[in-house]
Order: sequence, then C-alpha cells, then structure tokens
Amino acid sequence: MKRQKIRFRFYMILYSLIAIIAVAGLAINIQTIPINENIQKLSGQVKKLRDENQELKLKVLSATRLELVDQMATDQLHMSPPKQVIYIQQKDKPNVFHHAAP
Amino acid sequence: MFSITPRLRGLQLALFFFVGILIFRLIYLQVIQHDFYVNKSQNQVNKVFTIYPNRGEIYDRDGVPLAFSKPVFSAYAIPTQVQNKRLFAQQVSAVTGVSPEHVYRLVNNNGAFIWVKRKLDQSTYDRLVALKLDGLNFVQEDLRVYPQNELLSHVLGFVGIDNQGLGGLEYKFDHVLQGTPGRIMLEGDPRGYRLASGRKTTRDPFDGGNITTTIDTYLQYICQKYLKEGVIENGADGGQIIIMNPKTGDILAMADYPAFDSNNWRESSDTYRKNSNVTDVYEPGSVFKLVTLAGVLEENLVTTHSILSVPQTLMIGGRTIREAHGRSAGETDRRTVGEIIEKSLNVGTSLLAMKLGQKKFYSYITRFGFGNRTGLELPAESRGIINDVKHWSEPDIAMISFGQGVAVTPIQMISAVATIANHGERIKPRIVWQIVHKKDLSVHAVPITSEGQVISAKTAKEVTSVLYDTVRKGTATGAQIPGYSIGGKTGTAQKVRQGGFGYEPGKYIASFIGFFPVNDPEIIILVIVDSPSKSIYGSTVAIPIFRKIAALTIDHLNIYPDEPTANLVM
Repeated sequence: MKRQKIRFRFYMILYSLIAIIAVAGLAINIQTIPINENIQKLSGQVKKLRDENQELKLKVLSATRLELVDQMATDQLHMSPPKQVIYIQQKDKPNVFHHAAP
Repeated sequence: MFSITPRLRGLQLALFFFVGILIFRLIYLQVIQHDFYVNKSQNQVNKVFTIYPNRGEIYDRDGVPLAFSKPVFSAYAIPTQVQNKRLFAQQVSAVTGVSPEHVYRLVNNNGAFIWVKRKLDQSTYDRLVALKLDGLNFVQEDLRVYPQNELLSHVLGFVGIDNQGLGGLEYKFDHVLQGTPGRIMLEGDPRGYRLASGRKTTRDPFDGGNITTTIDTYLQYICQKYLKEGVIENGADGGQIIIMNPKTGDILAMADYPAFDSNNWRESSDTYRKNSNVTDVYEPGSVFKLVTLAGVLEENLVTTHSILSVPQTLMIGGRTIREAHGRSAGETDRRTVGEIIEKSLNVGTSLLAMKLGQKKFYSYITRFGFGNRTGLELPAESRGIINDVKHWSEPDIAMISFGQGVAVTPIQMISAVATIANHGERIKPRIVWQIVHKKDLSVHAVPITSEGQVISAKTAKEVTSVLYDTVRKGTATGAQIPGYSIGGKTGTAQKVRQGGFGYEPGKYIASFIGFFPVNDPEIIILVIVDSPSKSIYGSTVAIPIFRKIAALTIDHLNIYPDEPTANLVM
C-alpha cells in the first residue's frame, strides 16, 4: 500500500514536471512567433527602403547628368563658357596669367 | 519426443534462407547504399532555392556611380492556369507591346513556366498588375542601369538579360561584379509541401564586388562632347581621345565616337560597341617619329643640335621617300635634328632611323611597348602590328621611322609618349583603381606599375624639349595655351584598308598628342580623328579639339601656369 503511494507520487511529480516543461516550451515558442513575424516584416521594410534608395539614387544621378546640366545652362539659362581664365599669382610679386577657354 | 521430419527441416532451411536474404538486403540498403538513400530522401523533403546576389557597382575616381542595379519586376505565366489564352494574349500584348501572336504562342502549351516579358518599367508593371489575369505572375529581378547614358559606355560595356557581363569592364570583371549566389534549403514533406518549421539557410549570398575606376567623369564628359563636335565639324567618320596621367598611368578619360547607350546597347551596331582605343589599330604617322628621335638620342648618334643634310626626296630599296610639304625657293637642305621633328620631315627622320640601324630601331620600338598589349584592364586589347625585324625589307626602316607600315592602338601610342613625358620610365596604364570584394570585405588596390626605364631621363628631357619647340614654333603652334608650357606632336597618316592591304584613297587619320606642363607633365592627351573630310591634317583637325579639352582640364585639375604671358589681362 505504502509502495503504491510512493509510486503514485513519483508518477504525479514526473507528469507534473513534463507538463510544466511542455507549457514553458510552448510559452517560449509562442513568444518567438511574433518576434519572427516582426523580423520578417522589418526585413521586408529594409528591402523596400533599399529598393527605394536605389530608385532615388538613379533619379538624382539622372537629374545631375553633366550633359543635362550643360544643356540647361546653355539653353535655358543662356550661359556661355568664359572667353578666358585669369590666374593671379599671389606670391612675391603680383603677376597675372591667363589662357583662352574654348 | 518431438522429432524434426525432413519436410519440417526443408521448411526450416527455406525460412533461414528467406530470412538470410532479407538480412542481406537490409545490410545492402542500410549500410552499403546508406549515403545514396539518405541523399535521395533529403532530395525528396528538401527544396533548394538559389538566392542571386546583387551585382557590384562601378564608380568613377570620385565615387560617382557609373553602373549599378535597381530592382524591377519581370512577368511570367503558368500556361496551365491561363483560362482564355487568346484573351490573355490580347490583354498582355496591349500593355507590353509584345505581339499578341507571340504571347499566344508562348502560353498555348501545358508548360509549367514561361517568361512573358522581363525587366518591366514601372508603368507597364502597374498596368499588368491592374489586369489581374489568372496565370500571370511577377518576380523581382535586378536591372543594370547606367545613369550617365552614353558617358563612358565603351569602357563600362554592358550586360545581358541575366546580368552577365558582355562588354567592357562588365565583361572583364564579371567574376568580381557577379558575386556568389547563396542557397536556401526549405524542408518539406515528400509530397512537396513546405513544412512551417523547416526553413534553414545553408549558404548566404555574397554581393558582387565594387569597382572604382580611374576615370574622371567631368573630363570624360568634355572629351565626349568635344570629340563629337570635332568629328561632326570635320565631316569625319569617328574619333578617339584618351587623357592619361603619365606619372601614375591613370586613364582619366577614354572616349570613342560614335558612342552608344549601355542601357539600350541592343539598338546600336556591333561596330560602335567596341572600344577602338584598345581594339583597333591605326598607322600613327608622324607621332611615331618620337620613337626614332628617342632612339638616336639615347644611342648618342646625334644631338638635337646636330646638323644633317636633308634632301627633299630619298631613294631607298627602290622606293622614294618624299616630304609631305614642298619647300620654298632657296630653302636650304641643312636642318638640325630638332628641326627635323619640329617641321615633321619624313626624309630627315628616315636618315635618323638609318643611323640607328634596323635591329636597334626595332629594339626601341618594342621597348616603348609597340607589338605588345599594354595590359590595360579592358577586354580584347590588340597587340598592334609590327613585323619582326627579320622580315623587314630595305625601305621598311624609313617608312616605319615616320609611322607608316606599323599599326598601333591609341592606348599603345599614349603609353609610349607618356614614357617620354615621365622622364623615360614606362608606367603600365590602369583604368581600375581598386576593387572592394564584399565576400571578405577586402580591398584590392591596383598598384602603379613601372615597366622599366626605356630611355634615360636626359634623353627624355631632350625629346621633350623638341616637342616643346614643335608647339612653340613648329607644326603644332595651334596647341599653345598662354601661361602653360605644352609639348606635342601632330600626325597625319593615310588610312589603311580593311584587311590591311593598301590605303583607302582620300582617307586619313589626323592626330595630335600633347602633354603639359613640360617640365613635370601631369596630363597627356591623345586626339585621333578618323577620315576627316574638310581638312586632313593633325594640326587643323586634332589640335583644335586638343586645345579645348586641355584648357578645361587645366581649370578642372587646377594646374598652375608655369609660363609668364606677354599680355596681361585685368
């Protein structure tokens, strides 16, 4: 009778432990699900932002193309290249150099 | 007492035999064929997907992106899911511009997957999505873009539909730019359904390395702009320009006209897509006289002040060598060696080469790098054409001395004259500055490589002085820029026929090569104009282009003047 009682207690403790471990494991697993989902969501956002960044980079580079800037300067702003460039020497004595620009 | 009858014994033996076969079979399957079946099982439950890496980017020397990738969508169809194939073809065709017959042919089968159109622009993609067609799906891919369009297209090259390099740096460094694909293994059940918990990555992808070139975008732009202008103004077929730093071998600009847009390379002809600066050869004409001059000065056979009697014609091996320009009445035959180059006299240069002799002259030609690739990091570089000295006929030495009967690439020519500008030391040209590998985050810098001292610094200085006089008072006076000492040489040569036999009547290659400041050159510029029709001379065709580019290069690089000017401008 006493042995049966001990055995019963042993199994009770064992089953309880298993149940506690199972519940704890389940709880941890449940906690990781939203974290994983969050990681997935953030990864998606990072990718989207990277893609957007590439698109914007392309727009900036296309808008600042030298050919386009040159065209705007001459056609829209009516600018013209300088006829000559003047260099002023600022050392011992003042001297001026110049060269013709194209 | 139980006794075994022969029948029972027979049954026992049969059972033993049967069990033995089973045991043997189990050992065979589980031990001998273990690996095979493990793999087979894994293949059934594991689905492997390749993750493609991002292709590396290409930059100019200041970090301005010249080539990079952007994500776009490609449309594909699963024919078995398409209900009304005719209607599908019509609707897709109306948006994509692909003919309805072609789309119908694609979807009219029971295949699992077909591409409808790859790398869609944003508006086409939006319109296709709005159609909400059954069986039409989209996948993201990378599109290679060149934001500067035609700028540097011959150097950058282009890529195919799967982003594989097909030309220029894209081809030469495809192994670097491509990167290493990664792999995701998804665990599923034997029926192919993915298990929710079964995802695992077995190998991360590594993006392609980034390449930084030695190119200066601004200089490249002005080269392409003024080359195009010059070619059109002179009614020429095309042209090339290279700007190089003679001290480092850095190629700052490399232009080839006609150009093409790397974004739409399929729309241009094959002949326009090659980089003539490295793939094509031309007869250099008088610019080659510098090699002859360097040789005779280095061998101490003459000085730049030595006087030679230079007749108007010279007979050699049954061939008559003539000057390009006639002489005025009473003009003397006596010329200094310096004057021979300044006035670009063919007969005088032939006499100098004959003093040097065939073998020594040939040795100088090869030491300056002709007949060998320069090793520039671009594909399909030509060696040029220079016959072995053993096969030279008697007049060859005279012809080659002024740049006929020899074919060189523009990169060889500029590299050779850069040797003179760099005090006789030949520096290997480079167009790639550094490569950043993303896999191990290592940086591979391309070093400045010396190819050795070709001529002494003293000889280089003497040749430079002759080139300075050529610009000051010789055939290249148009190249002068007040305030700056410039050395240079013009070249006008007949254009060799396709196939290399004879010359094209009335077709010439006009060129000019110049460097500055003369005492310590920082910049060397080569301008070549192919088949100009209004004028044919280097002095009238190539020099005006050189002058425009040189003036802007001086401003851009803040090169300080080294010569006083007579007229002060306030």
